[in-house]
Amino acid sequence: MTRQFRARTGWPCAAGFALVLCLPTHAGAQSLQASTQAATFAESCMSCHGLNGKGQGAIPQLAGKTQESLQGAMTEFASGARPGTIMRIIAKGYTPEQAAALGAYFAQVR
Amino acid sequence: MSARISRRAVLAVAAALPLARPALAQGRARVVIIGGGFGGASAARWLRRVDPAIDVTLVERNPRFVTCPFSNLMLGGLRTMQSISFGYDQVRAAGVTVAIDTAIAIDPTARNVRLAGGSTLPYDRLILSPGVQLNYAGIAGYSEEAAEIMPHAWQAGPQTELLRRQLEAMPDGGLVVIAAPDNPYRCPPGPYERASMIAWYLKQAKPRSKVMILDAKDSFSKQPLFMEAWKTLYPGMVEWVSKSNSGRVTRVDAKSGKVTTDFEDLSPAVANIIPPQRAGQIAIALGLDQGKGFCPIDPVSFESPAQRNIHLVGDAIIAGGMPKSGFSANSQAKACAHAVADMLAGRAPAPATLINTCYSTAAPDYGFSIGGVYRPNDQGIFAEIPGAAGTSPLGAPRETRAAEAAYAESWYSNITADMFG
Repeated sequence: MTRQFRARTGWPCAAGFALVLCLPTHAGAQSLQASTQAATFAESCMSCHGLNGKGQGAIPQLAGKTQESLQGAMTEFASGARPGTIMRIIAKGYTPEQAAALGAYFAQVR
Repeated sequence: MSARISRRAVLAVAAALPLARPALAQGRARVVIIGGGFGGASAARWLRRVDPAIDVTLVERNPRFVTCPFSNLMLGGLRTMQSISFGYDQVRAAGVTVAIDTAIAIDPTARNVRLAGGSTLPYDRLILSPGVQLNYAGIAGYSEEAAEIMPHAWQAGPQTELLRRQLEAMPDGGLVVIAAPDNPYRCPPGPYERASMIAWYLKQAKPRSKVMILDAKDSFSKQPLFMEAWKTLYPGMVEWVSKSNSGRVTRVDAKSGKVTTDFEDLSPAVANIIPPQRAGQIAIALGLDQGKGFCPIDPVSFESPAQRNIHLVGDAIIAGGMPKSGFSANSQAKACAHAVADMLAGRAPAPATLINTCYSTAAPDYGFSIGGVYRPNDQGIFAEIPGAAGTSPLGAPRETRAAEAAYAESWYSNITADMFG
């Protein structure tokens, strides 16, 4: 899965497919595709965390948090280091690069 | 949507329009979506978000949609019907044309949909989210008419209200029977959450009453968690009878109120009969299920292998490891919206990563979940990403159960806002 994912987008930067981070080395169509990929990943998160990560109620909002904190949470949920409920399962479905890209996506939502 | 549409009607329209050309986009691309539930409403809104240049028309029979998720909470008295019902104003506000009408025929050659109201909608691509239809014939003696006495309440709305009224009217000490179907069916943990919510109501209002689940299978979703919850919350009130213990309901008689299994005849105060299911009739009439009852799809494009330019999402599809849930339908619809937009623009769609999370509420402060992350695999179905599937742990502290009940409420607010808010 990871291999296939990387092959398709071919990101040059470790931070993944966030448009702003990739622009200097990867302008144009590939960056557009990369940012679209980040958006499609993020859209699944929104079913619980709310549209654009700005949901209501007990489930934490993701919008506007730092990329580091979001990526860190994903990493710790996946490893079991952070206590949690469903995120301990869901986080295991994403590679570190994908978690970084998700973090970057929600960090830029205002 | 389970429009009564026959293959003959489909073919009749096809024959009547032999010269109709495919609705090739001259200017704006046109997408028609049939079915305004979790799959269809999500697809409509997200398609507009993905590409605002696409004309999107959503066809739905009812002006308001009642969600199956949380309808069990209405049965338990935790929710009103009003709070689980949604109109389409915000879908319209997103630029979707909403037709409150019934699709009576689809012509896949001419690429158009005929509506009961008389209009014909041309499309470049069609998305079907027809949900399930109930296979009444799966239980002898059961029928649409019998369901007015022994409700299924598996399509939320008047059936849910009927079941609630019956629970309110039954005497203390009465028996509630829930007949649970064999796989596959809409919302695998649903019958067991329902048993929990009915037990919650009965515990307060009619504490000498019992709930018996008569099951057509030997195991079920989140089984250990439900068993633990019943033991903790409703000791002695909920009984589960597996298929191997003759739990399968073979016959019902609405007139006498009798429910029959291989082992015994029961005369419950309330009989909730959930029959086997298959894809909505509109998909079956077009042969999109290829004789399987549910519809195969390409998991990248969501296009039917049986019919080009027709995509399917939600409970009607064969989704591999993904369960038939509102969350799955919503997740599939978002990916399908991207795929359809890509294909209309001449781009190849990319495989998406999809999520399902399903909360069950056993009491107002007692919830638990199952979830998974899915990708298309080599066999052309959605497969769980290894390690990324599972349930809440057994034996968790009550604070965790309370937190998950609160997460369930939050999830419901957020996913319904995603579609209708």
